[in-house]
Amino acid sequence: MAVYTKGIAFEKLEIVLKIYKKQARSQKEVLSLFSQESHRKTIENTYEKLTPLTIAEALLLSNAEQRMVALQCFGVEELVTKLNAKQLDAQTITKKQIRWDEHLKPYEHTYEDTYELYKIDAKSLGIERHFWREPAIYFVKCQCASTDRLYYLYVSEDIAQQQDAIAAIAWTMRFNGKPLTKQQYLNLMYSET
Amino acid sequence: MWSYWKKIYNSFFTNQINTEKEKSIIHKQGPTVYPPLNAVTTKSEEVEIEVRKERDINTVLKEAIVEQLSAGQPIPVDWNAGGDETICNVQIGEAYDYKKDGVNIGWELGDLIAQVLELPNAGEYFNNGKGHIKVDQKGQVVLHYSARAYYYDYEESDWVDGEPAENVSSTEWIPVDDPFHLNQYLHRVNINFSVWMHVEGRNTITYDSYGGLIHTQVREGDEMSVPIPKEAEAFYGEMIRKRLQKFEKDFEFSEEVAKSKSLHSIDVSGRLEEGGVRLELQKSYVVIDFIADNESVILIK
Repeated sequence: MAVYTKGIAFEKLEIVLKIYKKQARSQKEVLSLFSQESHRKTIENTYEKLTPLTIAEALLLSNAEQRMVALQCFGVEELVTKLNAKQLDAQTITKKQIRWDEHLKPYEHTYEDTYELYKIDAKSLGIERHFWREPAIYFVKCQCASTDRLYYLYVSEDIAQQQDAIAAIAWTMRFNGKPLTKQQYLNLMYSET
Repeated sequence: MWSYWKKIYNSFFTNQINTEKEKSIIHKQGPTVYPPLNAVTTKSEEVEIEVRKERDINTVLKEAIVEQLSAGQPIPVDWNAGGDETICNVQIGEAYDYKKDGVNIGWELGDLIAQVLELPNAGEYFNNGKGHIKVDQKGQVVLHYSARAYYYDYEESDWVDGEPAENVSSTEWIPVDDPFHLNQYLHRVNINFSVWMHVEGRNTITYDSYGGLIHTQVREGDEMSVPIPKEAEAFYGEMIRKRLQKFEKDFEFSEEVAKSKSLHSIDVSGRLEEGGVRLELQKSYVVIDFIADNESVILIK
């Protein structure tokens, strides 16, 4: 009999319980979700001692939907830290903006915009090396100047191999269907300021 | 053996030297071909396959049809094809899944009708129709039907033979107590409502399809069936039906549209929440002409 979390069916009760443990749900709350006697007994006997789901355990799930639900338990910062993301490059651009103060008067705001390029290698992802090729995930970290939110944007391997964080962030933007080059991006930043 | 080493050589050097070459090689190799989904059969399908081996499927269908018609039971058919699916309902007696000799008669006839009428399943084609299955004087199984169809021409960026002229949607919150104590399940189960109906013309309202009202979907925990009493179906059914009829009246389409040969549908989906029911109502309207008006086609000779 399947067990569910976020509407996705899992074959193993233990994985769902580990997800609940990661979500810091109490045993009482978890018991309220189960009606089968065998499940309830397992929860009563094992839940308190159970360790929360780890990223490695989540990545081992072969079903993509189950993996997605399991990985949602982790924040991006936690994923980046626990998966030993290696910083390949970091660059800072000084930008100027015209902003308006509370009296609706324009003023010049200068700030620094930092872009960081990271790699998570195959070993951390639990993926085997394919002969000489090592599968990896590359992403660029940046911060929205308006909301201060952090963003982690996927970039392709060929652009990441340039080891240039600005070239990487430029690649995430498209003009006429083509990715921007580093120089185009910097020119546009100049236009923005 | 040579091809094996050649493959290793190619993939090694192309991977190391040039990713574009790598891409072109992958492209030349073509995508992985998986067996079709229907290659995996279920137990009931296996039974059907066994029956097919022993007896001609059309003979079983014909016998079932003759039995029904001889007993004075009509065999109504309706379909709503296109928009990425082909739904063809054949009602045998009270059931849509009547079986004879292990063969699901309704499903098989539905497939046969879809095949004979070449009903669409692509997203941009729509074909709605209804009729009756009969047996003619020559003993042939015949479908008497009327149908309407239209499609979207991507090249012309326009609808052909039809015009989905107007769409109205609304989200509503209906506060209601919890007389059947269903709220106790909401932390782990979604309790959904689903109703749809097709309306023809202005004064001839017919409920072409009226599906089951309450559906449950487990969200957290194990599969405990939520006991939904018949009274709950009736209670929420009446409430939603009333709202649906008001919605139908509130959003009348234009005179011109209403006078034309029209087909419009109302879809209602909803969810039981703490303190009430959230409903999403959508009324859509299509001006379409008949492509077949009281015509006949032979299904089985």
